[in-house]
Amino acid sequence: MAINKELLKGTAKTIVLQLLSKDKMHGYELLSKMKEKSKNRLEITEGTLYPLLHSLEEDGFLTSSWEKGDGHRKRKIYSITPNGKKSLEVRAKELKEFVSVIQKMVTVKFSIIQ
Amino acid sequence: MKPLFKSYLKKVCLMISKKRRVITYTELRSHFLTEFDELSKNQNDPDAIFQAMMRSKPNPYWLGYKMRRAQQSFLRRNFISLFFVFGFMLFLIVGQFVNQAIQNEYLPAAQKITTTEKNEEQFKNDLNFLAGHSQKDIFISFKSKPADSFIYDSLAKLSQDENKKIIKSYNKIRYNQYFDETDINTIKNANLEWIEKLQKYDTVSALSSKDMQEFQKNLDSSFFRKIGLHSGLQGNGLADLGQMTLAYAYQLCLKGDCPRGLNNLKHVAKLVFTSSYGGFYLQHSAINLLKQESYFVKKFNLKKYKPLDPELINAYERVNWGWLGIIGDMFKKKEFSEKWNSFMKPELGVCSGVSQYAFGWLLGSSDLTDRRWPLEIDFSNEIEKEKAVLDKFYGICDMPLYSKLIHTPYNQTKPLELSLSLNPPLLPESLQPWINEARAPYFRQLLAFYILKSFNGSYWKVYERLPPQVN
Repeated sequence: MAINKELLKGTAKTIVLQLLSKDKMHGYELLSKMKEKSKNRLEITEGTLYPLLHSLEEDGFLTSSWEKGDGHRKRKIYSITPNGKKSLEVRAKELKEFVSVIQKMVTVKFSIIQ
Repeated sequence: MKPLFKSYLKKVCLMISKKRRVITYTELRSHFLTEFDELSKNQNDPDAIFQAMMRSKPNPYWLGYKMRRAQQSFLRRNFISLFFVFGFMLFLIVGQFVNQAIQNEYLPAAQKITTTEKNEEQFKNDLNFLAGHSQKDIFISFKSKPADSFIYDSLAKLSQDENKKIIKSYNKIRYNQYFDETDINTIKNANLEWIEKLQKYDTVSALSSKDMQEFQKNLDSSFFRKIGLHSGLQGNGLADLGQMTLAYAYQLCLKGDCPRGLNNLKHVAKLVFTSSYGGFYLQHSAINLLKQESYFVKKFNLKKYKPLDPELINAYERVNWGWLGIIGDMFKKKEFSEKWNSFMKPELGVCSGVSQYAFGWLLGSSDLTDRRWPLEIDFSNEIEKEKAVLDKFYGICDMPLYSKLIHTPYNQTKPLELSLSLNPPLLPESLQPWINEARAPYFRQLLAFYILKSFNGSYWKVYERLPPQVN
């Protein structure tokens, strides 16, 4: 089952920062990694990813460089900056807390229904 | 690369700033080609791959827009929100500033009582003096034949240039400003006999001009239309009539028939006095017309002619000013004063004061002084009290149009159609719709109080200037 886009909206930046904290990547590679890690459940498209990458870059959380790929094709490679790492830490904590709160609430709800 | 891809990328880049276009194009092109290479591993038909890829892509303009926004700095990205936040804060600060100005400066100045006991005593003396004289030389109390149509038709028969030429020549002669034979000939040959026919008429309503009739058909309560009406009523061609009458009197004097000319002059002054709507300005133009009688008597050495008593004219002029002070104070106190009841008669000049002060202020401000924006001060209760004071005068002065205007509810939906405008204009016409209605928060009230403050003049100065023996 695909994940609701509304839920994805608030966490997409954290996911991108998390993936780039492991290794530098270009846009297509990032998309492929997301699909692979989520077993195709994260339906993220170019329309979401590229504006997000450019905005993170503009805010100083990512940096980019150009590299030559297959067939001398120029690729823009993104890597996380120290500021990006700090932001990731904060975001990850917030997300963890959010998930635990939501889990509790949903459990309570279920218990009421039951 | 397929043209379809190129066209897609161009559309995306159309939405992006020129500076970032090449980089974005290269990045997305690389992405699509990599994706194509990956998909080619499982499928051999390139066309099918391209089509499948295109189907999965978002709208290029939307993608371009989102990327442009993402590429902007925080300030640029949030410019509109920040603009509105700062705009709103500025709006509130200005509002407070204007409120302070109204409460600390304009309101006290506008509400200041100017009448002293001495003023009242002098004013009463004048009223008693006027009441003791027959008013038939100044005032026509019987109104049955309005002269408006005749006046406007006659003025319209002369071209604007002719009118101006006659008035200019007369004033050059009257004030001895390098006039020559041409000016005297202009007066001699001016076709002004129609003024003679005004003797058949006994009133001027000042409501019969085309502008006024049009206005009454589309009666609404837009602020500038009301002020325009008020101002229009005061000018309304009657000032030109006065000047023409003086020129005609001069023409008759040159022909040796001065008394006839002066008789016309007095009759026109009386006609103008009858207009309840003319207000202070028209009353004064009529008084000035009467004052010219002495000029003719002196200039043409009319020994047998008996002019009006100058003291009668002066007293009439002073009470016109005095009523402004008295009525003004009633409005400031929001209380009708019974004390002046016995003198409240049109022939004693009360109506020009009512028209000038009450309508000038109430027409101009009643749409602007209620609260329509947050933090604006609500003066509507005060205005209602002033309207109640005004209602007391309707039985004395015949002003049904003003009554209707004051009580016509505010009509915000009606588009502004200015057939009348202020002369000189209070604001350029393009700005009027913004001050009008409720579109200029805070400043609308400031404008209203500015008008009120300007109405609160030194009306009693005419009495302060009187020589000691009259005092």
